[in-house]
Amino acid sequence: MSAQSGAAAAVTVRAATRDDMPLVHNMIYELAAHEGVADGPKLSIQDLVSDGFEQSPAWFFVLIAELDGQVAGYALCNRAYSSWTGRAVYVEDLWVSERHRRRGVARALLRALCERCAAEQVTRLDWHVLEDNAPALALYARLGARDLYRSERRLALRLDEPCILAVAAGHLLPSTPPQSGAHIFPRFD
Amino acid sequence: MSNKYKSGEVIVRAATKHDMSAVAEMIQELADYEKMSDGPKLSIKDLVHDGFEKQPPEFFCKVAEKHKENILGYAIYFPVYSTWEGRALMLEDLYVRMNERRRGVGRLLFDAVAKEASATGCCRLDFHVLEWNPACSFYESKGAVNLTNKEQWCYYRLTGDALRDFAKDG
Repeated sequence: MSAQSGAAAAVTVRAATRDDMPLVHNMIYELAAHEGVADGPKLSIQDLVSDGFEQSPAWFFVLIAELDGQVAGYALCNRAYSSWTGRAVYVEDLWVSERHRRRGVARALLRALCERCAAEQVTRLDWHVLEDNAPALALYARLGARDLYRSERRLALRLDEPCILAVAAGHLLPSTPPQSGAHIFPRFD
Repeated sequence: MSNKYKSGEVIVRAATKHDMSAVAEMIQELADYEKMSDGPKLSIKDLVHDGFEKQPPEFFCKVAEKHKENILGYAIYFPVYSTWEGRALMLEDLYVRMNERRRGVGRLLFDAVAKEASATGCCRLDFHVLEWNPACSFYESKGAVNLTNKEQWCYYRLTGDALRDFAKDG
């Protein structure tokens, strides 16, 4: 992803308001379709408005990028915490609409996010990226980001809702001996 | 060899600010175990401030306690958000003191956080673990999915000078 020095100046980034949620909702679907899971998102516009602007504390915050008078992308983030270094931020989604690519929008969003982190003494910014997302990886390398699996052998694990309910009810799957290399994780069905 | 605690011998409860001295000790023990001893930078006062004086709190903490005085382990977690499924929890730390291992304490702590996730309508409980950590088998037994393996998600971090420099120079 190249950053044209002139084009970067045309991108502005601002905090989202509740009125932006219909557009953000659209872009969430664009991102999901891009990842090949068009029916992944289950949230309504009202869910986003409620969770982002009517709950205290809010469950997330969003930065909106605008280019040539149009919304071009977003970063949806939440406050996080490291028991080692304190306040952190997690980037759940970072997305630039297809027609606005290669204009420095992602870079502008990340820069605005880092400015906000610096102003709030947030010392860690974390996110996940799919291994085959070459343009994103190229940008992240230029930020100085590190891959925690490569640098620390740190794996991302997830307990999905059926498993949360099963565990809350006291259930366990049988132990399996570790395979050669990384662990295989079986599932509740 | 250690045997499992009987039901009721160990309880898991919400931490109070008075537990932060024991929690700070255990944060360091966890870092030592992960071979990153110079990782922790927070004081007891930082933890008290961030967890019990700030509104909203920056994190939530549960401790496993025996005999109303010995803290055997802790879990730190906080709310996160999935744009596909909504409210979720991130389990940041789960630790049991070395001399209390294999007595069922880790399971009590994990189950308590999972119950909280379930009770607050969370769709997901996410966490990270070092690949060589034998706790992987424990998480397997809970039905956890390794997203790095299964979906090729890589976990990235921007910190320190790289974060500051990018903020300045973009």
